Amino acid sequence: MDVILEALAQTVSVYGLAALLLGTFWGIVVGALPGMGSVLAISICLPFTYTLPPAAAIALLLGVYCGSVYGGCLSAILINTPGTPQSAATCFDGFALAKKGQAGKALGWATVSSVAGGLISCVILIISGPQLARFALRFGPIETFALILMALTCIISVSRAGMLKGMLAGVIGLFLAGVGPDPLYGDVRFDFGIFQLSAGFDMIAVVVGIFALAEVFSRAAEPGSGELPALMNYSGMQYPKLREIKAKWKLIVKSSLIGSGVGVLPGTGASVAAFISYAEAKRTSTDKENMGKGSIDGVIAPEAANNAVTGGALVPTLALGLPGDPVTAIMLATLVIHGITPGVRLMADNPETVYSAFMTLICANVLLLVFGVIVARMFAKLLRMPESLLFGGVVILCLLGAYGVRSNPFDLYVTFVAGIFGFAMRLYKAPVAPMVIGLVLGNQLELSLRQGLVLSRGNFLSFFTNTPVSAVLFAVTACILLYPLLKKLFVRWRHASSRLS
Amino acid sequence: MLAMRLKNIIFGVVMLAIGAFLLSSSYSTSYSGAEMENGPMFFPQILLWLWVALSVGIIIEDLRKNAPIVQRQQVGTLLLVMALVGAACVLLSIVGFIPVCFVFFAGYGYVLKFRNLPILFLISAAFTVLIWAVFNYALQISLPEVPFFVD
Repeated sequence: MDVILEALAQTVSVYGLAALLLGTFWGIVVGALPGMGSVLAISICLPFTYTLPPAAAIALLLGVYCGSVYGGCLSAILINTPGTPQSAATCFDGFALAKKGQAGKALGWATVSSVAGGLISCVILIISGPQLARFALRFGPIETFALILMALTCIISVSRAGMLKGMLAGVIGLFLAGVGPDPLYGDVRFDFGIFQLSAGFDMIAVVVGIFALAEVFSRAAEPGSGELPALMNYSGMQYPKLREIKAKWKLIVKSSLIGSGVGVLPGTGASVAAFISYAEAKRTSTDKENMGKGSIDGVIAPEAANNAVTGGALVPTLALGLPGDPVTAIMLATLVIHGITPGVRLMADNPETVYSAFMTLICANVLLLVFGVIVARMFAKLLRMPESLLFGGVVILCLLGAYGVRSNPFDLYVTFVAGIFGFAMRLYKAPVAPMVIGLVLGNQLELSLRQGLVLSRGNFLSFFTNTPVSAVLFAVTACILLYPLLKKLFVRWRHASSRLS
Repeated sequence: MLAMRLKNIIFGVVMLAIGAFLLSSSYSTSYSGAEMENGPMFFPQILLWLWVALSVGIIIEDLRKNAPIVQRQQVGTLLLVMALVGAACVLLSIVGFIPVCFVFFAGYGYVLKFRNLPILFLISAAFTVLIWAVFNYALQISLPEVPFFVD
């Protein structure tokens, strides 16, 4: 009880509260700006944590993390450009709803889902953090390979343009992730003598190009483009009523559990969780015909999942000392700077820090309800500018975002080429989401495959029988791949039988 | 009809050409470990074979479509915007942030039919200064500088 009171005192101290409020607000603003991203938002705050007490430092970073993951949905819904890669899945239905004049409704649902996802993952974190950490330890290379393959298959299966284009997009993304150093031997691949390619492509540069620049080019190519249609009827965020939330509680909880589960596993992240959740929602939704055309389920699922990752990602970070993504890696570094060593001893040696982190995460998620409205209103006012001025600013911010990662002009060229390629994909109705996910997961997929082959002495067939976890994941992948074909064959068979009878 | 079908398959053909080129270069002996089992080229070659196969599948699928895949586009405006963005990407690190941002912002607005020039120049200048100040002072992220003012 003393520990909890101590943790509460640290959380509601002047420094702690100020850090939390500023961090959450800053995170939402940066998350909403295309090209910036959670990593940039948190990296900028890192120097400010040196002089803060440990609890306040963690509060600042957790606020930025939560806020930035949520903030991406604002631009995803309002201008069809995800502010962060984690919000790419929200574009599909979020922007479609906005085009129908329901931007306020979409934003309201996105906010409520994000808060719910974050809070549910906090509860899971508090109750079962150590158990989840032990489960995460059982995930070896083969299980990781199976999980990522399943995630890619889920994402490809939701592409409306057809499986072939979706699969090609995924393959291209996986290939682009492999340009540069080989993860096992370090040999440089496909650099074609260009020195800058020896480090591979930067993900932010490609994502910014594929989404933001492609959107700019699409708008320039559309005859008669003018004011953004999404904002013609925007009158503020509209939170759903309690009975509407009750009607969607199963989807919210399921998506949050997916996000928490994926967040626990090192090497995966909010983007994967959002897409898996979206694919699952599409499979089970009562409104599946509208998914991709403006269904609320298509906003709830990814937003609940991506914010649920924030709690789940703390499990390996705090309990095992294993960061799941660059953001939690920075948090880990901050803890070490303040003399706190994450790992199995953290709960025993610094329990008040752990409990303070839980409380901070809960507060940060609740703050989204307030700050989301404020930032959305600011953003919407900004977006009322003529499109010719607005997108000029968006392009500049995107180019600076791409340049700012490594201060490398080559990343600007990559962004430009990715923008042209993304535009071509839109022109020919090829989905870009599988490509982005392939790019994010490519290195991890390849590394886990090759490590698995080393462990199994080159016997790929043993992957399917290695452990029950991997067997189940491969079985699910096979079902997702074969389901459309089997469904077609079944319908044809029924047709033929009914004609015969 | 034939012209439309040819237009439909351009994407698949270009993807096939790129995939085939990359696949052939993956067998080049200039890559060390190219012949190794589970070597550096193991996974990329799997992907590239898939790439080629899927491109062929897409070409066949698109050839069978009766409706045009690509709708009408404003090519002139599109090319101008692409040229502007491309020039900004190339010149940003050479000429510096301030002139590129100002010229790009004003040029982009003009191309997209914002023709009130005094307001356009004013907003371009204000935006440039604001972004420069936020990045350099608030975020402490250095932007590319104009070479004449660098020691």
